[in-house]
This record gives sequence, C-alpha cells and structure tokens, in this order.
Amino acid sequence: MRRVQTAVCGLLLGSLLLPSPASGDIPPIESNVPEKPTKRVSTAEVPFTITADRRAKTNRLVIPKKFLDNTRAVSSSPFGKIQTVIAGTAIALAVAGGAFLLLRRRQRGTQVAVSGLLIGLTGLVVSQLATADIAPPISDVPRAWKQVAAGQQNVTIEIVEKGDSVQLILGTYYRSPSRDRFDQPKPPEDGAAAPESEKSSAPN
Amino acid sequence: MNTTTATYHNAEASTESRGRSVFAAAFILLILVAAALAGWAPLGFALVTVFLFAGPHNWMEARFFLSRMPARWGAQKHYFLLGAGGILTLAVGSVLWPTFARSWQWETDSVLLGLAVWNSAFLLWIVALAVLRFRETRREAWLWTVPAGCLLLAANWLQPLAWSLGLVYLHPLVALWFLDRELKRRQHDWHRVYRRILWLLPVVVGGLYWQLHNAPHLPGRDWLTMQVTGQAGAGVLSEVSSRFLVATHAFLELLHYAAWIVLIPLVGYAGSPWRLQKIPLAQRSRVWRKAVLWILCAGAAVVVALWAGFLVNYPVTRDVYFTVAILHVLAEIPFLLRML
Repeated sequence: MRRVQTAVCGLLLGSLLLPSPASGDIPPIESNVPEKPTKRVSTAEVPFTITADRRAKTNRLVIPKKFLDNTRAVSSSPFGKIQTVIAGTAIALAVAGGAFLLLRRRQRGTQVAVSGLLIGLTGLVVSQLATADIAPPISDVPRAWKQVAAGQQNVTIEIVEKGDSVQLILGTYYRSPSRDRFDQPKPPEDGAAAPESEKSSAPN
Repeated sequence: MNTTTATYHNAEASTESRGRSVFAAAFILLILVAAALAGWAPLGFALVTVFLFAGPHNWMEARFFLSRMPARWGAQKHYFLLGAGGILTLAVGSVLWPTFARSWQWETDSVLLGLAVWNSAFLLWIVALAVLRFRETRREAWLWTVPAGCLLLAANWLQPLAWSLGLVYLHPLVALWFLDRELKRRQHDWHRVYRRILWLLPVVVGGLYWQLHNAPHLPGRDWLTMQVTGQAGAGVLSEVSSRFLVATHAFLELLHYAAWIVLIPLVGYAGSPWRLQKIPLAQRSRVWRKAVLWILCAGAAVVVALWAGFLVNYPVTRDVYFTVAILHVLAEIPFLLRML
C-alpha cells in the first residue's frame, strides 16, 4: 500500500513539474478561441454595459477615449509571458516541495491527505488548461445574444470623445420577417445617432 | 532560615511581576499614543519620527549586530560570508538598477522586470541562508522556507509592485520579531505578555483604516510630500487614502524605532550600549577592540551628520538616507535567522 502511495505521489509530483501547467493561458491549437487582440486594451476597471438595439443591424463596441489612457498592451508584452512562466513554475515547485516535505513525515494520515490533495490539484489544473483564458459567459443577456442574427458575430469598435462607460450594443435587427418575434422597426439611416436601446444589462 | 528564603523569593517574584506590568503598560501606551499621533497628523508625524530616530536606531542596530557577531566564524564561515556578500550585492543592485532605469529611460515593463529580478534575488538569498541554517541545526523546519520561498517568488512575479510595497510595511515588524526572540531568551515572563499585546497591532491598524481609508488624500505636490506618500504606496494603492497609508507606515516605523532604541537594548544588553565588554569581536584582540570602537564612533558621527543634513535640506537627506538604509534592512536578515 505504501509503495503504491509513493508511486502515485511520485507520478503526481512529476506531472506538476511538467511545463504544461506553466502555459495555462495558451489555448490548445485546435480550439476555436480567437487569438488575443494585439491592440492595447485597458487593464483598469471601467463601467461596462451591454445593451440590445432592435433597430441596429451591426454590433458595436463603444469605448470613450478617456478609458484608453494609461493602458498597457497585454498580450504583446514579453514581461507578461515571463511573469506567467516564472510564477507558474514557482507555484508548481512550491506545491511539489511542500508535498515532498509532508510525505517525509511517516504519518499515514498526512500521506493520504497529501495524496488526495495532489490528485485534486492535478485534476483542477488539467481541467482549466484549455479554458484558462476564456472569460465566463455573460449570463445577463442570453436572450439578446441568441437574437443576434447569423453573420452578425462581428463587432465594430468605436472610440468616442464622451461617455462614462464602455458599451457593447448588440444589433438585433432581423432581415427575415418570418423569424421576427417583435415588430420590425425601421433600420437606422447610415451615420445617424444610435437609437435608444430598450434593454440594458450592467454586469456587476 | 526557611522564612528568610521564602520572603526573599516573594520579594523577587513581586519585583518581577511589577517589572512585567510596567513593561506591558509602557508598550500598550506606546502603541496607542503612536497610533493616535499618526492618525491625527500623519505627514508631520512621519517627518518628525524619521528626523529624530532614524539615525539613532541605525546606530543601536549596528551595536546589537556587533554584540551578536561571533569573534571567530569557524563553522559558520559560509553563513556569514553569504550573508555579507548578499547584503553588499543586493544593496549595490538596489541602487544601480533604478539609476539605469532612469538614465536609459526604461519602459514600464522593463522597470517591473528589474524590480521582480531584484526581489527574486533577495528571496533566493534568504532561502540559501535558511538552507545553511538547516545544515547547521538539522531542524527540518528550515526546509519549509524552500516551498514558502517559491510561493513568495510566484507572488513577486505576478505583482512585483505590490510585493515591494509589502516589504515596506513588513520591514518595521522585523524589529518586533527581534524583540520577541530577545524576550524569549532573557525575559520569559515578559515574552508571554508581549505576544498578547502584539494582538493590539491589527486592531489599531484596523482602527486607523476605519477612520482614514476614505479621508481626503494628503494635500501638496511638493517633493517631500510625494516622497512620503510614494514610500507609503500611494501610487500603487490609489483607491485608498494616502492619509491612511502614511499614518499606518509612520505608526509601524515608530514601533520599529522604539524597539531598536529602547526595548531591545533594555532586554538584550541591560547596561550601557557603549560598553564593549559584551561585544565578542572587541574581546578578540586589541586591534579588533580599536576597530569596534572606531565603528561605533564613526556611526555616532554619521548620526549627528544625518541630523544636520535633515536640518539643512530634509528632502535630499531623506532621499540619501533611504537609499543607503537598504543596508540595514538587509543586515537584519542573517542575524534574525541566527536567532530563530
């Protein structure tokens, strides 16, 4: 029993030292996760609203200019990658070292607890590897997103002079009348100001 | 005869109990008065405490380290060589890399990289000293510094600025740790009382936070105010009032100064700090005795020069002092590890 435990612990410790956990933010090659944009994105916390506009055909992301100050490039920064690799490696070494020191104690209860913890940690790391960089879905606007017609999965980014929050305006205007559930208002003219949206959701 | 002995023991116990009570009362009073003053006038309090106590506390620290340095290193040669080498290398590095950053106009990422590298070198130095302590003592507890050091390394690389700020706030507590070890060795009764009183610290800091975290930031964009607020982390923790940050840092600094100037000498070497009988290096030979005397005299001259510098030009002297003061911050580490 002790040999099996030691072998399992050795395998788990060895797997923790593999480089794969250190690249937890890099998506698998075959995934559909889009590449991170190389444009500078804000890392400050700014107010953000998601609205649905039935009179708009396209989706728009409206960013007031003031939020673009003091930003730093995230994905293009080499320091960011070095940070992740070193921090991940250090955490892996810390867990491995701590488990090794605990296992040196010849107490069965401690050894079983550590083995269980290592199995749980490894499972958690492996399950998060492929999705570590994907943000959780926004649950507040599921209906609006479902109503965005096929082909409207792109977004136009607009930088505006004024505004107090970053807005994602989903265009829910329908081309096919038979699929409409609501009245179909006139589409906005090109260049016209954005119509008032009828539904908004401000995530916390 | 039995009555006389019993009376003697009773008198002794009564004296010890009175001493313990006086110590506890004085320590609690120090904490409360320091917190009140720091909260009431944080900037002024910070400036005055540094002016009055920065130099003397460094002198007392040097005196303490001299009394703890063995006359001959012997088997501890590697430990003290690594300690001294680390102190000098890290001190020079801490001066050089910001100088390079300013001269070569490094971008933010490069500055953060430099900071993270220095912090990592500092951590690895401490872990290396701890491993040497393990080899001396064979106590397995020392090996836990390796995984703990790795965790701190990860935290440093994820948030180097916050990590450095953490060091700024933790450093004043190191003096309290020294005091804890001295009390454990020499005044066991006072040690228990001391540890209970230490629980007052988070309560007091919580009180300062409750009163000041939403207070307006400290006014003034002059060099001195920016120095003090910058050191307290106002640039990093911009969502917290700089008034609270400066008050907390100044409060902890005063405890640090009080520990080194009054409490540790009281416990550690009751008697005059200028008496050399209890300094092992001074007993080694006449040459060493003269060298120790010269070090202490030169240190006293530096303290006087520091006071003069503060009076002539406070901001410049403060800048120079805190640049050089990294030496004493680093020197505390090997001596503290020897006491654990």
